[in-house]
Amino acid sequence: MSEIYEQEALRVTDLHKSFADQPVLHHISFQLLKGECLGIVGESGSGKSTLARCLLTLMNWQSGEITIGDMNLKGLDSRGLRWVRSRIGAVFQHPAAALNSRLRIIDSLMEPLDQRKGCTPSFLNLDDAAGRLEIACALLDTVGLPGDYVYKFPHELSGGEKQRITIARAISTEPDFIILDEPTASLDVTTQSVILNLLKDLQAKLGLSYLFISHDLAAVYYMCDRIMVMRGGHIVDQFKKADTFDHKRHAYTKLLIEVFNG
Amino acid sequence: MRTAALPNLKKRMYPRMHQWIWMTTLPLLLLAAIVLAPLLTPQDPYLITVGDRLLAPSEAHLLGTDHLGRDLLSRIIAGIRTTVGTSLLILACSLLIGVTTGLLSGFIGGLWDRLFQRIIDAFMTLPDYIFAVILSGLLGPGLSNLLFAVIAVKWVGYARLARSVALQEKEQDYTALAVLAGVPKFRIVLRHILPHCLGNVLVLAALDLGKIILMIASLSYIGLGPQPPAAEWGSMLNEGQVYFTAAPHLMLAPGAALMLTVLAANLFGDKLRDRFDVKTREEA
Repeated sequence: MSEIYEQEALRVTDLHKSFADQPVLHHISFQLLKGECLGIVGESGSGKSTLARCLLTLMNWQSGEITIGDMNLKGLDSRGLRWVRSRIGAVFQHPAAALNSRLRIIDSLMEPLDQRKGCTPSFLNLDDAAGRLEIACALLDTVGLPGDYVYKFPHELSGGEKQRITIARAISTEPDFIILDEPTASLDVTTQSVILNLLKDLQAKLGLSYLFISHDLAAVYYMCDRIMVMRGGHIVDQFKKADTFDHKRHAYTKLLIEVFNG
Repeated sequence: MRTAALPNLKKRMYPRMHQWIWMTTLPLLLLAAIVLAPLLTPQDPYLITVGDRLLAPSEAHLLGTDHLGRDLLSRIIAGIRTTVGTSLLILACSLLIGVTTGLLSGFIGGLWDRLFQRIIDAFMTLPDYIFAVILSGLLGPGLSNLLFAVIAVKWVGYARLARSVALQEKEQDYTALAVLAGVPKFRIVLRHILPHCLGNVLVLAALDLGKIILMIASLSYIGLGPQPPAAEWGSMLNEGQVYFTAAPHLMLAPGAALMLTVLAANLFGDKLRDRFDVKTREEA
């Protein structure tokens, strides 16, 4: 196994997906390295969220391969699927929809860890014997929320606070990578910057890998090391952050940058 | 390390005990009346005393006597077990069948769901009452046939409601996150979907309790329910109508018992809705 391969968190090869003979993802190929933030940017309907749902194994695809670690996701049995899913974190666009309104924060937050009994996130520096409540409070502390939030219901929290909870939940299992599907799209500008900074801090502290999906070029530019531009289900451009303003960029990328610059 | 700052669960979980007391009063009273009915009756509700026929309310018979000289109050109390007890049993069975099949159908989807919808459609081709009358008529009079007929009519509403909630909730992000977290499907249904369904279903059930009581009484009134000498409010209304001008209390007493029970069930439904709507509760 090569050193480069060992550094891969995710590899997608020639992924093709269609809905009722209508292709939505055309032969998508890319890789995500460990500790890296890869941005996927594009307009609505470009296939970003479909790609995310395929990667999360919540949706089937027609052809192509998705590899996480050394595990190919196609044709996995339920045990393999459960293992693979435990290696992926997810933060969605609407934090309110990501938290069950009937459950207290502690129950939503601890759900992934409840499935792995006796598992304590290593980055919390807690004893293995730490209780559920102690782990939940420590996770909240990691995302800058007070411990007494554990017994609140989601409707008692603001949008930004809910998104912090979903981030805490996503990192709790120490996944290989986290899919951030427009994590700031439903938040106000101030909260957006707070969440983006929190994500950056966590990445630096815990060495997380992110797949950052957004239509907000400014957020993607701020967060990511590499950027992939999608349009109509195709990857039209892929480049490092430093090359964003390079004259070799695809015409559509230049258009997005123009729109972004006003 | 943060143990000192751990929050107090009790303070948050039991802020309004009086709501629980209010909510449980009616079901407890009804259950107590059903269980203790033989002990609460002042006289034997089935004892025929021909010499005491059609007596008006008095100290000896607080609600008077019927056409066979039986104590009316005792028969009303005994009727709680027949009318309300049967209704609660029907409600419990309908809920169990309806919610289970509805949730599974909505969550599993596919062929099972399509098949289930056709079955529901078949059950909904006739209005509740007509379907129950036809079934009871085909099966013949009697308590067990009445039970079967009303359950066959009532489970459908709960199944439809549970299915619609399951269809809605399984598309939510938190369900997707639960799948990703490796939560087993059965547990997802129990933990994430059932609680969303439960509030609506229980409110519907509490409101339905009144309708079921009325349905049982109606079917008994036309002779399809428990047979004489069973004390049942609908049958008592039927028996009393012949003597309405001479002894109106024969119809007024079971009529009032029916009305008050249905009213109480409806009020209970309202309270239940307040309890299960998290937002309403917090605003209150």
